Amino acid sequence: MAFNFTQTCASCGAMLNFRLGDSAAMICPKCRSFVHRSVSVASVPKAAPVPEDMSVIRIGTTGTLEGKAFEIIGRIRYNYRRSFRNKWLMSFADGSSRYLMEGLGVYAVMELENVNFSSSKVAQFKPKVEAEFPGDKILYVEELEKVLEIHFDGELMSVSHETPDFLTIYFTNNDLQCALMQIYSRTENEMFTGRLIEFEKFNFKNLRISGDQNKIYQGSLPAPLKLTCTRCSAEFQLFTHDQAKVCACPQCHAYFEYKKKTATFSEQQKRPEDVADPVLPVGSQGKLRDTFYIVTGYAVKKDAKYNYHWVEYTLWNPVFGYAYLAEYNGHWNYLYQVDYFPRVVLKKDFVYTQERLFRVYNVYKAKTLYTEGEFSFDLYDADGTSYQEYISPPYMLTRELTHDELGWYLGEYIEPSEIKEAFDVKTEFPSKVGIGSSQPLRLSFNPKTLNLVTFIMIAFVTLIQIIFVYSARNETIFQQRLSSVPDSIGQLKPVVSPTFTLQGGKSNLEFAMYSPVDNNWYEAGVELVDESNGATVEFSKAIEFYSGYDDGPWTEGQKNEEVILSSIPAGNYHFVLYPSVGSGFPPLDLILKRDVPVWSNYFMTIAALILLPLIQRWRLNRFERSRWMESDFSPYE
Amino acid sequence: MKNLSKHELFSLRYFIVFYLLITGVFVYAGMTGWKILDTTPSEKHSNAYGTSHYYHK
Repeated sequence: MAFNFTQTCASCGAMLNFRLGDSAAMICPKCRSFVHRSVSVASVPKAAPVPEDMSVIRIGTTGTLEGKAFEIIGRIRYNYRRSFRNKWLMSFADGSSRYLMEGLGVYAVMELENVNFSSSKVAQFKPKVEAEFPGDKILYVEELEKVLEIHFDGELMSVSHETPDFLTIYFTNNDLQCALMQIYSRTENEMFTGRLIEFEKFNFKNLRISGDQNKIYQGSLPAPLKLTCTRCSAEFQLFTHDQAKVCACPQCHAYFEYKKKTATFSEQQKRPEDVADPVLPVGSQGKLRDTFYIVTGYAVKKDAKYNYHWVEYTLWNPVFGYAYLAEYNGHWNYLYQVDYFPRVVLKKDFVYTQERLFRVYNVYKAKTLYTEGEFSFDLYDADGTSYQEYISPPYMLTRELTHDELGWYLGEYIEPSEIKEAFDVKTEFPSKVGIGSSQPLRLSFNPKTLNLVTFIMIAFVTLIQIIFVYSARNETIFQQRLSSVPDSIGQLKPVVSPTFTLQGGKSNLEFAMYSPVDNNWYEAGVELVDESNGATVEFSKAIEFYSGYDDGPWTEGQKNEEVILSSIPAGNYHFVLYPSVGSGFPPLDLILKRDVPVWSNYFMTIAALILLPLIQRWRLNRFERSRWMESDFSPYE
Repeated sequence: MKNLSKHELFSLRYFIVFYLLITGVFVYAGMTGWKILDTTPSEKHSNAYGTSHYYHK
């Protein structure tokens, strides 16, 4: 049921319309006074303007969630050291309310729930630790962050915790359930629980974007902010406004902390001599995998232990947040943070997620060498973060762990040509060296799936063969014992058959021959003549049989043979038999059969079907051995 | 299918073509009485049995 309560702003006299029955305050939309409901005071404090974090949601945004219409009527924005989060107040048509947690492309609907953890349990919370919630839900701590700033807008449910400097703990699990705990003191906290929901499922209307899929800056999203370098006076742009915490001058490479439209010098970077220019300059825009991105950052990092470096491009989209393109030795991965926790299965070297088993490939600590553009956290401050890379080519799963945050990133191997096309880049990309950690073998497929498909195909071909066998006519055309008759010089005379008719369409013709030879041979040269045009099909076949006794009895050869002639059209035919023998005059029993089942076709087809997975297995084995040569966790050693 | 990567979908297309080709040839041969890799017309006595034949003679 809709609720309406009107109150006058004590500061400017504007009429404030409260939408929820249990809301506590409102920021006056005209003068930004902090107006407590039903409380009349002479002077009211002013709320600070909400930083421009490029969120696409605003007060007044509407939508439907699971068939229920809602409107965004309030906002609390939390600013953390490494990120930010908006807690939007959703007012539903039935008078109920919930919170839409939003930040960096993650969207979750939550509500206040009475969940209590003992202070000793809370003290144990750190990334990866599991927590049991009501309803036997198990969630894992993903990050602990201190709120540095709070900003308010619109209608507010609670204003009891207006001051920042409190700890928040964010929990999530593989079933997209999530929770946010705000710890105000040893005895006071609030727990919000809910689930992650895809952006599209909110059916938003009245967003800050116009819906153009090929533009970053659209609707009421402001254009990039222009900044002037305090070191070299060069002008540069800040694409994500207050999402950025640090930025670097593209000209003198000075590194700045950014806050409240002011860039404060932090340190002077120097580009390493062996690092080439970025192939995707900061500010490049393009559509990659159906999402339009702008390149907002470029970072060169190295393994803290080994002396090799790689580069990371940060891509940003106002709806979906950040994604990354990482390049090492000319091999590229397209990565983005996932909202779920992969389960650790079997043993510590494996993780299982998205119906795939990933194997650990690399464990390292990264150190930032150089940056360009802007970032939502201080990259140099993140040095020492430990990474674990798991692979299931073409996918890669990277675990990023600090003392207060755990993040999982899903990557997929991507060809440079796809990136070039997406961002319309003409520059030459680095050449590929060796095999990439998540590089898939060209024209390969999951061996298990391939085996299954092969098995299904063999079953199918067997079924077809059974049908062929049972539907074959096996029609006897000619059956006769042919005697061997010598001519005047002792050669065997050719035998000419009477005319016989082959009916139906094209079909095969079998010559089944038997000769009672013993330590002897009989060779039949046969010429099948089509009487309509004189065309012939020729073949010769030898029957031989030998037996004897050396260290024991032995035999060799056989007294019967078959020859199948392929695709003989219907018509009138006769054959000419040219016999020759080893000795004597053995007869030949000959049977001609039309349309007999051909088993050799079946066995050849089965062999061809089996050949593919065998070849694939061999190729894959060679490829995998080369890939894992780069890893300390090779299963081939 | 939804868990297949772009690369796997690309490969899958080739494998489907390969499988269809093989089974297609098999079915066509069965329907027309064609013996695949039929070497009969060129088969000669001396090639097939030469060695053992003359040895035993």
